[in-house]
Amino acid sequence: MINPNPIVQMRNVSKRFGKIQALDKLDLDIKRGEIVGLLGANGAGKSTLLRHIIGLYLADQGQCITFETDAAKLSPKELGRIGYVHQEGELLEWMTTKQLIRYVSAYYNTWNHELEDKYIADFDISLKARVGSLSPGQRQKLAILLAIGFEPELLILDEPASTLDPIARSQFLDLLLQIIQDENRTIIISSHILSDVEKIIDHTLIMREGKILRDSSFDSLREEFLKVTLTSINGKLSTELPFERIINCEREDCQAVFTVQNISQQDLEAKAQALNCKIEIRPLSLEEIYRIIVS
Amino acid sequence: MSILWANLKHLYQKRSFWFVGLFFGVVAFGIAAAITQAVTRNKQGVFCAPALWMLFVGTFIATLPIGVLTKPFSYCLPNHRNIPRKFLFFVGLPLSFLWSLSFFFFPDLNFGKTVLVCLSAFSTFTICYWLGAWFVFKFRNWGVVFALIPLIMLGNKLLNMSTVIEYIIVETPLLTILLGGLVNFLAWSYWGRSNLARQYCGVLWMGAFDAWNKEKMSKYGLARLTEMDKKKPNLMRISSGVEGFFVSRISRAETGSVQQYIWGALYKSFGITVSQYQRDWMRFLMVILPMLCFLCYMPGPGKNIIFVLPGLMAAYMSLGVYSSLLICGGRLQRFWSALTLAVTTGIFVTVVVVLLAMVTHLLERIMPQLTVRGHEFTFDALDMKFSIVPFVMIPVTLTIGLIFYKKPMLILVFVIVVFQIVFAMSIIGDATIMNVPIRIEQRHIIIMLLCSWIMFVGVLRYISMRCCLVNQGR
Repeated sequence: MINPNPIVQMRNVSKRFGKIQALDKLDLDIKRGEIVGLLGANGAGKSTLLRHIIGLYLADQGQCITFETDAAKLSPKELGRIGYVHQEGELLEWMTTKQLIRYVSAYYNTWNHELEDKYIADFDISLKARVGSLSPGQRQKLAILLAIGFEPELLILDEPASTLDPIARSQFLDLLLQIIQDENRTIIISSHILSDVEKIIDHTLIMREGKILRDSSFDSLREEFLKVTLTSINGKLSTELPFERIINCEREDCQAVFTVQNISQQDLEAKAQALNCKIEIRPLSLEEIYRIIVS
Repeated sequence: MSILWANLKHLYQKRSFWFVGLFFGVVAFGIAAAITQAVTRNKQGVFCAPALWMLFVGTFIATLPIGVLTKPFSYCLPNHRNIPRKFLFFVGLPLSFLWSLSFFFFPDLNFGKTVLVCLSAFSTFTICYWLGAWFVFKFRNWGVVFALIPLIMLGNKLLNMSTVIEYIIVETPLLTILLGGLVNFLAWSYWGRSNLARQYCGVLWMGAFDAWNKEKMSKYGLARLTEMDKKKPNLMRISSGVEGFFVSRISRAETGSVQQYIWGALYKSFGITVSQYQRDWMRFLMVILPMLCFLCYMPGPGKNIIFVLPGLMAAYMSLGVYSSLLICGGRLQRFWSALTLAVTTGIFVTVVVVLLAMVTHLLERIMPQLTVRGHEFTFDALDMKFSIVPFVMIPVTLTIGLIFYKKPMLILVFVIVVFQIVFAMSIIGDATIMNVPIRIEQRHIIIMLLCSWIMFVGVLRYISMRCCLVNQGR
């Protein structure tokens, strides 16, 4: 039976590094089985937030609960349920990849050797090569393998694909799509490559300056923002368009392209009909939504 | 495979530890031989030699757990939190125990006393081991261990430490056992504390062999710079005077000209250094004067190391030949700016060394003769005639640095070879090779000077004009 409690809970969490307010009174719930996209510019506080989840950073104020335990006091049993791919991707350079995999697997009873063999083949990882001699992309693939080899319940990916080439990124996305088949697994992924993230996430957290600007499901975001192309069937468009909450309007004599927020598709179609216009409606991409929210 | 065993495997999996193991093995063999001789000849102080061995072993062994702890991926490894402590104890205690058995051969002790003394020796060796390990964890830079060497040498010279420690082990065993127990308990707590993983996760540290890892050195330098910048915001800033001096010359020079790149290279290399000396010349004197006094009181030619060290350090100096694209000079520009930088460095270092030698000559008149525990120490000024050594050595080491840019270990090997040649030729002492006296005359120095600079210019020109100059790190 799936535990109904959130896997991560943050209440009023603040963290300051010198003069920089990295996290500012954050409240957050991440439910089991969710694939959460953590978005934000550099310095928005994404990595700081992720490090609070595993107890690596301790909050100056507030509380962070992971697996119903204070994140600062996670036991080995709970840590053994978390896979984490760090932004830095630093591993033990002097080991061969085989030695490193053996070393990390020694810590986990749940290590899946079949999965390991599969990903070694998929990622084309050379077992004899020294970790230090691998390219950044290869090293990141290895870091990902080490984080998922024991099939963690909570997988945290901090900019996992930033160093991967397009083919490796696509393989990585396929891999994530396989991993998310397990409904009990929660994934939090922070990334700048929004076109990749939008293929897999079902929840978005958008951060700026240590605050969460938006915490909602990706589907509701896509319903909230719509891109509209309005074309007049006979002659010029009227100067005043009868739509509320228009964002980014670009118009020519007989055509207008704009984004609307919180207007249903039926309303838009009805108004277009009244104007005697042809209407095309499409949902925005995550990148477009992100730009609107952040700006 | 148990987790502890997986970690113990690092001892042989890490290739650099093969050399470390070999080195300590040879030294251990030597100590064991010396102890065997000490038994028959009743020599004092030899039985506690393993204490020193354990101290340095501690510094090396500690690099393994700290190396794993500092890697972010290790934070989430379940049950890893206890491993550094288990690992250190698992290695340190058996080694200390083995060495303590040597006291079974200590002369003139009955069986009961021997057992007590062995336990006392065990405690002493573990204390030394923990001290070495603590050094690495505390300072996060293995290089600090080098600071122990003069302290140990001085301690042994002035206080006859080896005999004193041996006396303490044999004559006050109960107190030593008690102290050992306390230190072991403290070590158990220190390496078992709950925030150990949090404290070291992602922290940049320098291992025993990282001094030759350019990428890590530059990262470490940058991290230190950021730390220092936070503590003292003005310390690492280029002063406005220095900035104005260089920037006005860069902007006055014709765009893309060799002259512009030369000023750029000089600014990049000396901007901060000159600013620091400008601001902190008092602090510089406070560091350098005690060091000079220490060297000049040192008997023998050892003090002349001050002429050799700057030359050796130049091997790791960046001339900007292999550079990123931040300042993208053409090949000719890079050649001239690197050459100017090398000559300026050579002159700068030589002038500093001459000034230091002059200071020691002034100090020689006022510094008293010291007598410590029967040993007499006279302040002996630096010999001015060796001031040319850095100017001869710098082009040689820079050439090595240029050729083996991507193989820092080879640079080290060559630096050691050059160092050995310098010593063998006795530039820094009485000249003898295999008991054959060698006289270094002025013309020899001029020839060496010319040869070294011609070689450097030749290699620099070849690399600048014909080789791939893209900086790809290691």
